[in-house]
Amino acid sequence: MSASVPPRLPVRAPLPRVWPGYLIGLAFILIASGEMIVDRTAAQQETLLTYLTWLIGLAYWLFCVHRFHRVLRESAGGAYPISPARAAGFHLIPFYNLYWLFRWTNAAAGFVNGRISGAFMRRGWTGGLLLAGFVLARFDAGLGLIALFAMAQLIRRDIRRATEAPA
Amino acid sequence: MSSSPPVDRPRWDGAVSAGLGAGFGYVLFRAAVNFWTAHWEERIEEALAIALVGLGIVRFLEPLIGRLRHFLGIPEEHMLTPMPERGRRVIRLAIFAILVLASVSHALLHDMIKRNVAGTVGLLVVALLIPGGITYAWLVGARKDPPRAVRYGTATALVLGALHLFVALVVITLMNRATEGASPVSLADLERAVIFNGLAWGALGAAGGLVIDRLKGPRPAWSVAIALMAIALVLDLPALHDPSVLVYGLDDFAKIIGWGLGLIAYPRANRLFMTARRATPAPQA
Repeated sequence: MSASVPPRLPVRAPLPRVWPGYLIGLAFILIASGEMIVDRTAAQQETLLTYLTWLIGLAYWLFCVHRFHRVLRESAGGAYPISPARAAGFHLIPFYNLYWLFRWTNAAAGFVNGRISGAFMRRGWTGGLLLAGFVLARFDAGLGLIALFAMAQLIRRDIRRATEAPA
Repeated sequence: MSSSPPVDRPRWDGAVSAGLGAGFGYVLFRAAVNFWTAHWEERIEEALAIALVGLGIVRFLEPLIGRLRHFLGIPEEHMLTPMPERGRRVIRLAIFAILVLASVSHALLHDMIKRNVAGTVGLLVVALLIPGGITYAWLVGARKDPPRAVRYGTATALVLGALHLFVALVVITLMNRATEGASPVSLADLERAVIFNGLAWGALGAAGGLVIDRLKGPRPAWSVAIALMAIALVLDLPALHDPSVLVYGLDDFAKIIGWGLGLIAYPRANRLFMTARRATPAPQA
């Protein structure tokens, strides 16, 4: 007796959740403030805990970028030009990453605007605001992380609308 | 990818049971240490009171409740099959031991709470929040397909373990500064303590999650409890070698034992810890 097993549908990756990013940003602010209470000189130095929190925030940001691109690729049937690993990995190349912020957000804008009629995601602006977020993070990492994840939320919204729209 | 309902009463109850177990395990151990270090006259007085209460319950209250049950026609619970005389004696002895233990626990807890209400409640809340939070994360992760108890449990444990100590140390510093004008901990000490505490809780969260995700036995709650105790033993080994910090190691261990017992005591724990994969029957070939 042979049983016919129905073919398993490919699992589509969900878009990343943004709220953990906000939480990491808030945790950074809480930790930096707490350390200043314990030692007033903490503000002038880079401490281990704040550094770790920033690293966790950065890792989560890279995860979000990776996942955005996985969703874009799956949605485009593999035809999307930037692979998830490349999208996340190029953030780590000094100086090139400044250009890369514009490069991947413009490619995403091209995909989104192609799916939804009209210029829904404006080319250049998203990359510029992300760059502003990273610059802000140089001065205040907590606020910078919150700004980055606020942008991630907008990107997520646009990608969701584009992927839900008929191809 | 499966989605799960956001509010789930049994999960919540399971987490509370685990958290309360940990909280009371910790407070009870602290109370026992207080009792042990008290003056001998106080100790004898306390022990006498406990023995009297135990005797009163076994020789008077229990038979009285039995009579009342008989009078009101309420059937005896847990006595569905007739038992031989020897078995009955063993059960009576076990009941006596449980009652004495309950009386001792009650007296110790009462003594501890009487000494420092705010401190005890604080200890209880902290001891309840972290194990309760980790247990909840496990229960949510176990129902994902594929199971995610390791991931959810470890992340929750790391965050809660690090954050609670950080907040506690900052609050203590603020209070000390108001009275003495000096900070009781240095920045380096604070960082070391917070990171170590986060990692220690993270190890517990990972161990329990691993058991839930990977083991396929019929009693996952027992397996989780054993894994927690094994990890706690490893983490507290250095403390067990050093008499000056022995009590801190043991109170951590008491907390973990309480956590494990809280898990085992929750009647639906085994079913809740069954991962989505195990809970779904395999397709018939």
